[in-house]
Amino acid sequence: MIMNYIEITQNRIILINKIIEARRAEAVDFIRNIAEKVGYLNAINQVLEPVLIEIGEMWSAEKLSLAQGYVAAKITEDLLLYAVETKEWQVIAADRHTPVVLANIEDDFHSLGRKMVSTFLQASGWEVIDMGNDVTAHDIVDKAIELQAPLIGVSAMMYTTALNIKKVRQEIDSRNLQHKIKLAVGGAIFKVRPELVHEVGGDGTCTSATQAPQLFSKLLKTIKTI
Amino acid sequence: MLPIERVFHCLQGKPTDRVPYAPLATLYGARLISCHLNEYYANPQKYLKGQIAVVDKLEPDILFTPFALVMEAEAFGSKAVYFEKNPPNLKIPAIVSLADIDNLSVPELENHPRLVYLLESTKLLVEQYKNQIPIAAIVSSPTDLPALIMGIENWIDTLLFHPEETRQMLELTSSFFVKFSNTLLSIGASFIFTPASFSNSTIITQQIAKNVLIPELRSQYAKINGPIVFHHGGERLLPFLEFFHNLPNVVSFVLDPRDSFDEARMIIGNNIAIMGNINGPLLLKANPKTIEGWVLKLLENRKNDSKYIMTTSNADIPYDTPLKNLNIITETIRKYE
Repeated sequence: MIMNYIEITQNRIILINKIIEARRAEAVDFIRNIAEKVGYLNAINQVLEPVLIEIGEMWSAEKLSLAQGYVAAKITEDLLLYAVETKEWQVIAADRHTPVVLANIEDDFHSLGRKMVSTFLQASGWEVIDMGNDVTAHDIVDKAIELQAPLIGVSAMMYTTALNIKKVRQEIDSRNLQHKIKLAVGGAIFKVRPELVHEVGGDGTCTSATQAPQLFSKLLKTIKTI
Repeated sequence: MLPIERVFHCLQGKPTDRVPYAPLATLYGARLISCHLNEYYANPQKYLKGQIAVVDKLEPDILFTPFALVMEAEAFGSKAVYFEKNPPNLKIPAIVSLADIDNLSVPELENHPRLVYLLESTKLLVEQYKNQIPIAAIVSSPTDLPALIMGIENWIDTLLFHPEETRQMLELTSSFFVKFSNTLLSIGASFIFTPASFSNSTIITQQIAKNVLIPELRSQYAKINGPIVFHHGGERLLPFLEFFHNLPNVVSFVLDPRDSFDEARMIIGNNIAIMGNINGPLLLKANPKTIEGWVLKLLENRKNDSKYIMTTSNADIPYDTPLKNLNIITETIRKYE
């Protein structure tokens, strides 16, 4: 069974409203009901992902709060728990597993943004290796090399800790990996000081966690095939 | 005029000889006296010495107690990380599960070394500058402190999905806020300076802000035995200022660097003071000429505003900020007279 344009649009509107009103359980049940009819892949691709993009745009424009972004992440996380149990998802996952390494940089202990990015990336089919808080640049790049991850995502909340991300840039460049590994940076401070992306040597950023899959896809396309 | 006269005249809308100026230079004092931060954030005498250097070099009209909010959370059991050049920050929250809230209690002020440090630093500043420079005691908002006790993620989750536990946490932090603030005022702090970002709809939903957190602030602020300065907490304040307007005992708002003073005045009127709007962390990289331009623009913008205090907004002035970048602010204000 497939959804027609009107059904897709109506479902998106209903889901957006449930996220904005923080109706987590209702939103998860709602998408699960859709998935029962059209499969998880269609439910996620046609309803959840477009809604997350819209939520991300509203959040970036400060029309939504961090809490509403958090609700979107929890709904996605809850849904993934159901999706991974299905045969349909296991087949899809086997085909979509570009590894990415995520971490909060050395001295940074604010994990919320990183966890949300991890959730949204996983929902889009990325294989996320989450190294946690307070990770040195050396360890991050080592892990990316070990797992042949073409993308690294590093998060920092404050200006002072964001400056430590420069060390990741230096590690990548000093090992001559700049054409093989791209560096995405994020965290609250990059939202208020976008010039920091350049200062710390980031290859890209996004202003909300829901936009991470688009950013990572864009960066992946810039990597030269060796 | 003495700084204390300048500031309190300003708060009352009376004429002053110049715009009062208050750089948020609590961390910077350590740099001025070349004190390691581990010692600076543990020894009240060192903090006093650092702030004496701030007075000597920057000539502020307000002095601040240590801007180290995580110390309050340490008293609840959180672990902090102390840096070489940055203020301390949260490392491990006191609790990770809602069930652990029952194990929390309001700390006794005299029993925890970090609280003793904060109180003693305040006392020393008051003794040193009594009747000369007002002392702003920095206290975490009762609506923000839970994020430092249970982590940002858990606090957002609790606010969104667990009303009973929200109430439990707010009871604890509000009780602490009132006790701590009134003690600071009783030992001579001139006002309470409280950053509050969790009651702001950039962080939490407008519904929770309006129905839970702002009523909590209203209720707790009413119990404070002195004036309160409401700091933007790193988020834009202007879009939500109407909700905070008329909170009890609030005598001033510190705006975000992105906020407009003119628009703020349209919302809150002329009876309440406004503060800001030099972006403190940006002073690190800016050059003196640029900073002079910022200050002149602000002075020109507020020249008819009798209730304006120029302060740095956002976080503490960074440790490595060149002194000339701060001196240019004082010089520009003086020249503008």
